[in-house]
Amino acid sequence: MMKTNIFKNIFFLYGIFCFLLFLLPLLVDDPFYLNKSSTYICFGLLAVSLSLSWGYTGILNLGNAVFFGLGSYCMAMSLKLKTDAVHTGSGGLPDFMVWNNVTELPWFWEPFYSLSFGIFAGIAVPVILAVILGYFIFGGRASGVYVAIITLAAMIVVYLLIMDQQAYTGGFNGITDLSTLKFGKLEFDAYGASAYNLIVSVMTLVLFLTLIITKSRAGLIFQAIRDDENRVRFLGYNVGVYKTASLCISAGIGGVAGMLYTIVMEFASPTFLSVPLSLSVVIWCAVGGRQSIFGSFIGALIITSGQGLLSESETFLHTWTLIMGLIFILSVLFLPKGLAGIFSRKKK
Amino acid sequence: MQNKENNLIQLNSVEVNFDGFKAVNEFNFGVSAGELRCLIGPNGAGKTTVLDIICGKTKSSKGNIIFNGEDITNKEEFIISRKGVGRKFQIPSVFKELTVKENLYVALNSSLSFFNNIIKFFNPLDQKKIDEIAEFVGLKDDLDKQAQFLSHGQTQWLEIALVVLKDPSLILMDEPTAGMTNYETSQTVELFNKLKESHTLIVVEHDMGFVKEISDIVSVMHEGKLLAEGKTKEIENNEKVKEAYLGNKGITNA
Repeated sequence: MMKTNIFKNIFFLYGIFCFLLFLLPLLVDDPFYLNKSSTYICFGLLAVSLSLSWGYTGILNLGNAVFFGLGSYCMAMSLKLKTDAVHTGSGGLPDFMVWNNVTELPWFWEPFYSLSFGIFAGIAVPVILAVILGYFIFGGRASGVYVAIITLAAMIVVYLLIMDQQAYTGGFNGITDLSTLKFGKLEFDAYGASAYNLIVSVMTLVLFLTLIITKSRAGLIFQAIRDDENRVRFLGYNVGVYKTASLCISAGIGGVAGMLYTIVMEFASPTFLSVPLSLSVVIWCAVGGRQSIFGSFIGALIITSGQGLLSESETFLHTWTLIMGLIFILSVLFLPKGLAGIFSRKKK
Repeated sequence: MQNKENNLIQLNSVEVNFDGFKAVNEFNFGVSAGELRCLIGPNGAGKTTVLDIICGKTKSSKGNIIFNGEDITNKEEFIISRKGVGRKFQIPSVFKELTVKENLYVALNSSLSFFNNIIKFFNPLDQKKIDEIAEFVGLKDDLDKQAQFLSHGQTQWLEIALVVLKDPSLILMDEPTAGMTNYETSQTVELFNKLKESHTLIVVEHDMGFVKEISDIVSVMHEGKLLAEGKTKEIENNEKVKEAYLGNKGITNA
């Protein structure tokens, strides 16, 4: 009976939180800060994605940003093909392809003329990658630090591929000069309330969906796998399938976060799937509390907005990274369960 | 040894090779349905390894294992488990960060498929089953406790409950009374006598007092082989068995 009350409360709290975020545009008039807030929320979703695989299922995915980056590139490819002909070469060829002497749009760019395909691919490509990774990692029973190494390596491979194939991916520069996102007559201005509202809407959807997943029986089995994988296996569960599924859901959410990020940043860059970002996500989750979806989300918001504010202030211009490091060390030392650990009720 | 065909589980000349060391060698062993068999032997005799090869944790290099008329040799753990083999480990393995209730819910014998479980939520019917089993293993008052805060004996019982919840036809128990107080051990004897009514059990155990209380037939292993098999009384007076336990003190003092 106790359980159902808490359950209802969590839904209620999530609702209030999402509602409050919808009110932000009324308080913040500055388009710059509104745009900044949007990016923080994208990072929050990225943290949610890692919290599900790491905090819930125990898969320390150090290459989590690869899903974010792939999502971001899919969205960027679609938006690039929507730009005005002024910015493009003959037949709407993206500018960087013209510079690289590409004469024809490559076949894998063709379907991205359709925005719906771009959005679909932004989720499907990361998920497919997760299936492949999951098959090899969990089929081969790799665990612990090996999972971290393999996922990190996989991300670096994708990163290097994108850097290397400059003619098709924009290489080091990424894909820039994107059109704004348009659905029919709806236009989402990256610096206006429209894009912000879109992002908070998607965030609300993702948060509730993730909450439901964690409350399902599968969500509980994820946690059981984290605690004792073998026990779960000897109870008749196919642990590999569950772990792969968890990684796939995580990849899907990462892809969505990446797509939203491209919408507000108006470009896609290889840094979106780079090691520094990927490791930052681990820190956000650790500070917020990896075993809590909401905690991880808040952790990301606090750290990224803190980084934003500190790096802009003149006093901390040169020391903000130190301060961030200090926060991380303190939270690891004194809050092993992150900020969420303070609020969670002890079940003794 | 009974008729091989009628045994629920039958191991035929099974061998396990750990880099040249034969932990189990030419091992023949069978247990008929409805029996509680204790497997004893000195340290390093290969008792735990035998349980490991039955449930698929360790792969055998020779021989075959027939369970319920089906060859389950070297099959994947979850497949063997689904066929009806339950395993309790020597070091109690439960889900430490989950509550007792959540632990039991994971083991509850409903769907194992991911796609069914992602749309499945806790319902009152599950609660009833969980209450029943919690009552059975005496954890009824601790349902909302996190498993890491249970006593050692309670943790052992929780794991037994996890295994029993799947209702396997064959239960493999590895030292279920290790670390238990006398009171807890006597409670466990009661539990096992209840389990005996509806399951087949193979129990690896050191505590001869416990063995005598629960088992009719005992199998003794030594250096990866079956040394002797018979009634508890006969085994205690068996010269070969005494020899294996060194110093001729007899197994009661082992």
